[in-house]
Amino acid sequence: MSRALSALGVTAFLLALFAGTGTARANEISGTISSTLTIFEDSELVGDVTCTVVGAPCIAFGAPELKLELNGFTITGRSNALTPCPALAGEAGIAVDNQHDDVIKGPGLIQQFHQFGIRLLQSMNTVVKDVTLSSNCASGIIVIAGSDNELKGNVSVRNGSPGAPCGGI
Amino acid sequence: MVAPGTNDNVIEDNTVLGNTNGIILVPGVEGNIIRHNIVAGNPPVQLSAQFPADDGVDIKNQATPGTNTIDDNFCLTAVNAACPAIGRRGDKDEKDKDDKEKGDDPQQP
Repeated sequence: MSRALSALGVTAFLLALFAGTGTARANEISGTISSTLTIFEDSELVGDVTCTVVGAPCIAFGAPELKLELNGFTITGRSNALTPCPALAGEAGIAVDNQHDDVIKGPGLIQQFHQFGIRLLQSMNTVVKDVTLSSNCASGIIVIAGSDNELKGNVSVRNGSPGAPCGGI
Repeated sequence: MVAPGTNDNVIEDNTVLGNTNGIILVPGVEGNIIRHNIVAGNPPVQLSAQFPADDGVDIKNQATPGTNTIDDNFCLTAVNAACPAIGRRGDKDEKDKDDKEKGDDPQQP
């Protein structure tokens, strides 16, 4: 009887352990994304990402207080860096819309999106750190009607186009 | 930063090169801090030559002067910002610190 109880206890412990690990485990992202990937838990890139999403963000934050780590990988959109770059509304590498206390952490490269590399829309206390933005058709990083956000240590190069003279930031 | 209500953000220690504009503040934004950034070559010379109507600059401040803090950036061209400024970033902070240690606090009138 006591042996059976002991075995039951060990089983319960192992179940609790694995359940806890599953809850804390980051969502791992790599490969091709063809419709907006909305994250609801801390996440990280484990490989380069190619986005074929049309007219919408590639990766979107779906909750506050999340962290996305780029881990040195690249997120590439649909535009061609060697040809004129038409800005198409809605396309962004990463969108943080109506959230707070989210974090996007580099190093990592976000490039060739038809509008923004990173869009912070009506979000607060978001941190974007050590990310490189390149060859996006409008802005590298844009902050729209948000407050208390921190953009630190980023490199924004060769973003914008004559038809959409936005900026690096 | 686009749209009024984009307030109290901190943009610091970034490197912003070769974009159609470097850093933009649109009318109505306030309380933002833009400091210790390297902002140069915006727009690149090829773009200026090919599209002269696109008058990009390194820092374009279209907000009401004095409502945002734009300080100690490395920059060359601007609208309503202290450019050109080609000192080493942080020089102003060091000078302020030295002045304060000497009892000559630059923050005091």
